[in-house]
Amino acid sequence: MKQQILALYAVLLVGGLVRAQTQTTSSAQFVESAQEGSVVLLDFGGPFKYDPTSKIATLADGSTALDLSSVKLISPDQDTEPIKAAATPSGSLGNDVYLNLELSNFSNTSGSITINSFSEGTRTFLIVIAAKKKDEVYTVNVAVPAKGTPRLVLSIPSPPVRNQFTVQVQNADAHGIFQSLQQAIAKIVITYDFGPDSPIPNIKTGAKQIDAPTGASSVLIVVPNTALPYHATTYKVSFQIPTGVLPPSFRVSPPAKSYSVSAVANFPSPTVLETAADYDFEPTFTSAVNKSKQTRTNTGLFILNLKPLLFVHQQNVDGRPRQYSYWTDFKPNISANVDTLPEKSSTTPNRITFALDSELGFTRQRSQRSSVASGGQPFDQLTWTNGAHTDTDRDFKVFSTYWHTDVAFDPGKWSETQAFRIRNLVPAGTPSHTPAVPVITAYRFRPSFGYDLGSTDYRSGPVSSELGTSVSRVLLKLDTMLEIRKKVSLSVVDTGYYLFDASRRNTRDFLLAQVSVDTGLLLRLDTNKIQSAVAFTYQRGDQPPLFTPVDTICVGLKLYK
Amino acid sequence: MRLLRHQARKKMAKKKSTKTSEKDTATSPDSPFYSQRTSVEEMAEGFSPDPGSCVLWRQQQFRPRVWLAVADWSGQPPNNLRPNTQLGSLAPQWGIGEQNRLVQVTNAHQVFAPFASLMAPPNVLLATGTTLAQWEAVVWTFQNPRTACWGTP
Repeated sequence: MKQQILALYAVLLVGGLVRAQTQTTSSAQFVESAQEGSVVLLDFGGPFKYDPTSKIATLADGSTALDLSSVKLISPDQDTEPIKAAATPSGSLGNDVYLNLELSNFSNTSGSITINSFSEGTRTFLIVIAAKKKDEVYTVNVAVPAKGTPRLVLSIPSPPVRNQFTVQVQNADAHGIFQSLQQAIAKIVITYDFGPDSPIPNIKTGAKQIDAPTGASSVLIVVPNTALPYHATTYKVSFQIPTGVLPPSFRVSPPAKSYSVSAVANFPSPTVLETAADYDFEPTFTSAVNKSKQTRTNTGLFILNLKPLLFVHQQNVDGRPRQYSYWTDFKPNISANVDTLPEKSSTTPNRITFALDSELGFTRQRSQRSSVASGGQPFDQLTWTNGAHTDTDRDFKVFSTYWHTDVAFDPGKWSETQAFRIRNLVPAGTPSHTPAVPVITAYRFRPSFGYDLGSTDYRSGPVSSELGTSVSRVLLKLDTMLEIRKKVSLSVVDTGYYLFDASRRNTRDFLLAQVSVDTGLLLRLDTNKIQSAVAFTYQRGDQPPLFTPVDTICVGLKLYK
Repeated sequence: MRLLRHQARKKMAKKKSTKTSEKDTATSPDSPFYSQRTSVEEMAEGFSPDPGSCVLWRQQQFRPRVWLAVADWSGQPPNNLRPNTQLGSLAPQWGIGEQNRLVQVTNAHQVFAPFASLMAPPNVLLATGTTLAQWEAVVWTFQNPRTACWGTP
């Protein structure tokens, strides 16, 4: 019998007559529950379509059709015959699409058996499912621990929670284990192992705190001294306890100084942003026209924007029927647009703004008037911004401090992101195809209106007779963008002002037009993804605080995130 | 059982018709994503939170509910979704507003039933590239209050 098993294994692994196909993302988990007994849960790495008549399961990408009427488990290192299992799709998404496969009712020629009836240790079984295609099988490994073996199972939470992880106690008294660990907390070693390919050295730390299991739970919460770090790739977290600390039933094989459990942590920094933000720096070479003097000057112009997003609070998201949900956040920002010329002769914006903005946003529920397949009606969103702003010139001679309010409306599909435009969604069981990149890969059309109220202080120089010392103006802003083939962006932002207190020319306008050609990721760091683009910028009009005429063309490098 | 469910839907439909302001896709009986709300006692009946049952519950009930909630939120048929589908590809403009709506719809689907827990809204904005598999983990991490199955791998 053993020879037959080994021969089958050799055929499966080496290939030859039978082609073995293993999907790298598939996984299997052995579960022993009070209600259902021993089962194996198989995840194909995505949903699958199941035909209950023919018992054929087609994987999400349509690549493989499997015959679920013939599922076997074989163990390479034991003198046992193949074990048959009944396969039942579970985790239904409707329309015969499922997320996992449950294997149960294990049997061999002598009848029903328990696959974990061995005395100690863990055995690895190979799940073999025949494919619809002749001479093709699908295989997945599953580790099965011995029945009733006490063990600890480590589980890592998801970002942004990085300051704790959990240890589940199986087949042992969780409170007793907690007492033992609590007493020996100083001896516990936690290791973050980034692997041999990472330039970052492994981190060894300890446990700061262990929380007792609550109620019927058998889970201990461990707070490490060093929080789980961000890392571009997944890494291993090991939780090591000296063998003497745990009861003797926690056997370590082969004998070692510590009992160790590990899990994989996945904390790639860009996945969850602690501060979603716009960061933008543009050093440019600029040609500026002074219309009154009929001169053209070449100079360096620097544009900087820092707009972090902090303290997001979301409301009306408790699942009760509601027409709107809303959120608040805090958006401090600094923007500067300055050159190196004397201010008197300069015709670049020369404006520095410090702002403390807070946003109140409303989102209307999605309408179901259009068909589900077409994506339904998009969201409507309203954002009301309020904040204290200070505008100053480059030399800090004039300060204009005012309260700013504006309302921006994002209805329907007036704006679409690149991810949305180039998405590739196909039904489960259908072969995937490379998405065709449309000509327009993103666009934005965002109108807003607002009002500024405040005053202007002149630290030096005469008070402008035209603008006075008070600020009272209405703004109308139109923010538009068009991205072509993911590489070229055209953006036009036009802001119109109506100055109530100006002695002449109450209406002013400022236009910022830019063409940028994406040059890809310039710097790829663990915590930042900074992109770069060559940008051509045109600025014309008047801008607070001095509303001096601007007329410039710039070419420069744009670094942004 | 089906009859009872049908009657409950009818009752709910009557109630909802009197409150026109309280329209919600996931709780509308006409919605393809409709899931009936049940009491905590009804939900918790017969559930034993041993580690094995928790794994089965997480894989066979919690996961599909999260996927169905994302399908409901995005208006996509559930079988169009994959673990690597990015949230940003499902909404025209991914941002706090859309994240807000997704949390709302996730809670409307009672993903933690039979536990009476909700998903607490994350106080950060998730990136556009957040995948459905990552979103599943985020929903699990932000369960509030923590269920007896917290810590299930």
